[in-house]
Amino acid sequence: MKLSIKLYALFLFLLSAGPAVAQEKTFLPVDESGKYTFMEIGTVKALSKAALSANVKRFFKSNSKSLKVVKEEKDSLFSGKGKMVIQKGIGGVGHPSGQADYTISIALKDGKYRLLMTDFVITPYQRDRYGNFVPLAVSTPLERTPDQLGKAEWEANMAFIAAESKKIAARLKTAISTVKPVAADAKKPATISTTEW
Amino acid sequence: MKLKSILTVAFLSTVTASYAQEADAPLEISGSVDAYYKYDFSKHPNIPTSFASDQNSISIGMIDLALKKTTGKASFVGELSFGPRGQGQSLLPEGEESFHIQNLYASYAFTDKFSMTAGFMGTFIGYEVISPAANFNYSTSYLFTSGPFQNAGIKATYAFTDKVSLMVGLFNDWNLYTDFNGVSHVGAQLTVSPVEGWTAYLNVLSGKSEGVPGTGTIFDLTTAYQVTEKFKLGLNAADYSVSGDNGGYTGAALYPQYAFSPSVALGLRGEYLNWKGAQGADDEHVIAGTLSANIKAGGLTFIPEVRLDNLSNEGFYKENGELTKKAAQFSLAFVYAF
Repeated sequence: MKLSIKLYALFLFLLSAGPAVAQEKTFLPVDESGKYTFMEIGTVKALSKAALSANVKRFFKSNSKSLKVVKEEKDSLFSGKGKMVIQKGIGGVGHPSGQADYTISIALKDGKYRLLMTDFVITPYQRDRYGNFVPLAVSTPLERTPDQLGKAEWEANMAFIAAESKKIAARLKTAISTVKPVAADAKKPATISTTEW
Repeated sequence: MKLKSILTVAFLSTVTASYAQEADAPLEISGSVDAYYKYDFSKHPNIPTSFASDQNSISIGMIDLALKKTTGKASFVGELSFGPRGQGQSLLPEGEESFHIQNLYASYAFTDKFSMTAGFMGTFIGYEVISPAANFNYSTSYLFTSGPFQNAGIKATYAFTDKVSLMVGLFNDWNLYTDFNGVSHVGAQLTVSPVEGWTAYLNVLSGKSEGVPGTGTIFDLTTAYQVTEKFKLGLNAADYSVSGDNGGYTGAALYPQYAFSPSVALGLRGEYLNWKGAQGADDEHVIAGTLSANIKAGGLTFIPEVRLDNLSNEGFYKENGELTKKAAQFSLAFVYAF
């Protein structure tokens, strides 16, 4: 019994001790103001700006737990805030190690959209007395250059943010390209006449 | 038998990897390991606070492993620890266990505001905890050593706003898996976050423990304020009394910390604790000052520390065996949190 417990404990330790280097070490580019920024420009020629706008609203609504619209301008610019939880571990098993808050903007033209994610701010998590990971009170902009001791963790956070940004962009691309069918009026049931036949 | 265990582990690895892919919320695994070297300048292990008890020895603390899973509104946490810090030193009196349960509980969030939790949990009382990964100083305070480590019980938490919440619960006697004189402790915690970066917990726990000649009640204030990006101030103050003039203690500890960078910080702990004399006996007190550095690289934290304690009455030993009021030690510790 004791040997089994020790083996299980060793297995769990090895599984979670690996670094979060499952992603490639890619870095976000910087914009004109020196901020790390993810940008993607896509084309959706089959849809009008109005349809794109409706799809963007649906995208924000379906991701409401992590994205929030702050401002809409004439249905062609959507600005908001987002949060991604940074995961640490291997093989899909690990724990949250922090969160990255960011600003998101989606600009629309006819048949075209631009996604911008920038102003990334990292808040590290720490495990509390109950075994839950909670945010610390200090947040750091991603642009702040780490010292030598913190470099590896900063690079891991950057790689995670870059990979996660690509996933968000892919989800947006799918959502914004959707041609939504006209829904049948679900409120009124179909009627039949039992007298005229 | 050995081959069977190895094959079991290998199978479990495969199953866990594939399960992690399919589950909505992944299983969370975390933990820590720690070890230390401590040297008391009198060559006696004088300072009696928890853990780090070995004198002039490279010693281990514990390996701690925690599992957490959330599915919809339900969640569980199971946390085990192995090693001196995680075994007998976490649970009084020392038993023959080869491991100790730090947390074993389930929670259910009935709504966004109301949840209930039942099981064996890290105590809600006090500033410091058993896990070295969550403390700034490696040695612990007298307030920590004197108070509860864990509470088994059932509690309900209601969040009035994102700044105010209240917990009330029924608990076993301090630190015990089993309550031998029936569930008899009532506890509550009011959490307030007046401004961003500042959280305060007002705690109370009261009940009759088996073997204690009266009802023990502890009032505790735990608070921390991130004053600036670099400076944080923590405070813990508590009063514990056993009815019928059966003793207790009163104390306070201040924790100013300064972060020179995200990787290097310095923290001071200044503590005063007064033990109340029982049945008319005199009180005794101690004043302790601890200076610790935290040097972090990824999950690894290196903690060099010096500490000076001063008792009101002689209770420490000099190198020659004579009693003295003062004790001084330094320690080097590492904590790896994963």
